[in-house]
Amino acid sequence: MTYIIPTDHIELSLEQSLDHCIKCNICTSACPVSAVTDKFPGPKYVGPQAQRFRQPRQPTPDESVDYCSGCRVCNQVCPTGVRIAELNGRARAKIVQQKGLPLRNRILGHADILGMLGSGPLAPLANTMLSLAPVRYLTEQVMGIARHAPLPAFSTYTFRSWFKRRARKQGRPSILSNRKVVYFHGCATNYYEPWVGKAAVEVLEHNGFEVILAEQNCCGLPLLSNGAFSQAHNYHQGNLRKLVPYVKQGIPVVGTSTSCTLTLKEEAPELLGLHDADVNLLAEHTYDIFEFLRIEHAHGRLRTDFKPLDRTLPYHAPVSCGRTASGDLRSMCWNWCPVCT
Amino acid sequence: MTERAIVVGAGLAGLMGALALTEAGCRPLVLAKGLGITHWVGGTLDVLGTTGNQSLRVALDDLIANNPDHPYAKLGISEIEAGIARFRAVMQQAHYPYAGSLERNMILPTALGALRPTAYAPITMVAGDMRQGGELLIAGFHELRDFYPPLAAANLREQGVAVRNVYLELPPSAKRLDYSTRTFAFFFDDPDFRQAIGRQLREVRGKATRIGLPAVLGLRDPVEAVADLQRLTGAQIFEIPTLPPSIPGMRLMNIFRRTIEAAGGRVQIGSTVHRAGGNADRLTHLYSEAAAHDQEHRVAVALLATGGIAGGGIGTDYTGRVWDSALDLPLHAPAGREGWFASRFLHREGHPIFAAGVATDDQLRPLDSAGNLVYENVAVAGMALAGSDPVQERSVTGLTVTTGWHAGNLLARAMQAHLETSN
Ligand code: SF4
Ligand code: SF4
Repeated sequence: MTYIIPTDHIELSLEQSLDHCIKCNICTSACPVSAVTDKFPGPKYVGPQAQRFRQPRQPTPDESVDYCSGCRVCNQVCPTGVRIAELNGRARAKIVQQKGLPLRNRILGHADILGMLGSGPLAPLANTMLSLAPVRYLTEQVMGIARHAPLPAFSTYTFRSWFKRRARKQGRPSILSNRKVVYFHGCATNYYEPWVGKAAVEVLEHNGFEVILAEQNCCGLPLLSNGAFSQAHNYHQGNLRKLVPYVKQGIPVVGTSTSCTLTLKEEAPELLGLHDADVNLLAEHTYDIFEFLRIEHAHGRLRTDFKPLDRTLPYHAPVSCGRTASGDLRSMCWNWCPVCT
Repeated sequence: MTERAIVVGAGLAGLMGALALTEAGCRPLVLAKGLGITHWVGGTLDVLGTTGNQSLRVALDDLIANNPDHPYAKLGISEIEAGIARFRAVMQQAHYPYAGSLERNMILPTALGALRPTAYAPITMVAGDMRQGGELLIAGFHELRDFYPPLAAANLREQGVAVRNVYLELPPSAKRLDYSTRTFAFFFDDPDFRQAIGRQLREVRGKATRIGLPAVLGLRDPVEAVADLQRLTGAQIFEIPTLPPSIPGMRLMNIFRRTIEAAGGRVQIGSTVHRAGGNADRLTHLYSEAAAHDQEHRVAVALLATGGIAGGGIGTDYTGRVWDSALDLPLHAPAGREGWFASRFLHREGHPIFAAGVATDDQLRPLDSAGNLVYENVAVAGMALAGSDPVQERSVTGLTVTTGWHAGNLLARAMQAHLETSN
């Protein structure tokens, strides 16, 4: 099935944003991809510049747009508000529409299926297999995944299995409260790093929330980033079906993966051109956990019985934080913490 | 939520204001739509574009005496000097010192070979001062677009400067598919690259005593890069500002950001402030745009430094409407589109619309058209101020730096007073 990019107000604003580009190249000087590879000429060229030549029934002017990682740093720094990352995202989708999705992207786009296959009791086997040189050589040859690129390790148990086991053991959710949240764990927490989800549940419960483990899909970002819009569209529809009923009862959706929550809020609706009432409802009631806690704090409800932790921790702010109303972790703490900067 | 000092805009006015607030212990949050003026300007500190023998200080005195509504008049000469001094001290600390004075403007060449007056410049540029004699060489690279040594040299020659030009060869290790000013800055951060270029320059130098290069001599330690090249060539080396993105501007942004964040402030780029809330005379909330819901900020004091029309803080449309896109403050602007433009594109007096901005009292607080105070806890700095056309006066960076510093200090005091009364 091919996904036809709609002629919606987003397309119109993308078209108009071309005229806002003053060719200052600030975006190019900030783009992390063009900094490291020559094959990507940078946001200005593949975005507002190449877009002029992307016309119906014309061959695509430049396929290097496929190197764009969708990190949106360019959007963040552009002084005139050109929506470069969205231009790139939709341009890539058109290429995929014409030429199909390469095997590698087809596989890497499905973080959920990969996770399902690799995680669980057999994870050590899968991890060992994926660390073997001959296997990596083959995956490089067949799929184009660089031999030396580190791969995340599958977890021996999934976050969902842990959560359900815990509920079974206790015979009920660990706290019952009229303040409920749906936790959106995303694929990374479920299959690779379940401890992130455990920590989130602990923090939320400590603050008096009952955490609901709703059915959910992959947010669809890996597919969106690879231009596979029709499949991403299916995922988003699935999430709407599964999550909107909670939102309609006044229960917000809170996630720990900023890129998942950003996809539910903005990326999927904007790239796919979805603007109906349910889409907006989910977008408006989805929160990154930092954003959520920050709002709790603003209302004087956050428990601030923090204990000092005498450790230095590395922290890499997710790129998608820039679009979230919390800023990153540092910005969040910074709002009340007197010592940590 | 804690009340904060919020700075709207991350140009030189906003950054200097944030620096003042940081140093007063107010831990400001800087919110900006994107990176802007720092990446556009050449990195010099232009106080006023006087040429000839007139002392800058005297010219400023005249300007202040004759234009009581001019932002410089609201600061007075000693505050102007204080802002410049603080700016220079910060740059000095970051090993990127500025030279110059309020006596005579230096005359520096542009990438087009025009001559441009400026009061202070990074020491990587000062050897380009055209008040000195001696033969010049202008060198560049075919690979660096928008910097044409032959063009710069031809225009300088027409103005009586003895100058030659040359294109340099990139070492094979530096071959890329495409180049930007940043690519070259990365190259020049590497001492081996500097060696290769220095050796070439020595060969083509001839009688030239000074060599001008595009201002891409590194982001890490440009002063060291210039020193290296001087050692290798035996000539004085100077940088000539390029088209954006400006490497000297990026250096400024990096230094400011580091200094502000190290002292407890935050710079958040990609956060467009587009809504404000307040009561009778205080601004209480600002809202910056984010995915699906705005980020709300509680305001103790706020600095509006959104850069006027050029910086995007002041919006205009074809109906003749002019508005402040962040706080929606009343603006001082020519009524109706017919009043916006001068008769000629390059009119001596500039276009009236570019002087549009917020009118303020002498503490840079916003006033409405009747002259009443709008918010007592807001100050305005830089190009968003009414009362001058800094582009036409050649005072953009000087005016933004000094008004930003002054406004930041006033706000720091207001914030301390406010916190004392509310405690
Ligand atoms: S930063 Fe924005 S205005 Fe500048 S070149 Fe990039 S898209 Fe154009
Ligand atoms: S989204 Fe990221 S990778 Fe893509 S062009 Fe923008 S800055 Fe570069």
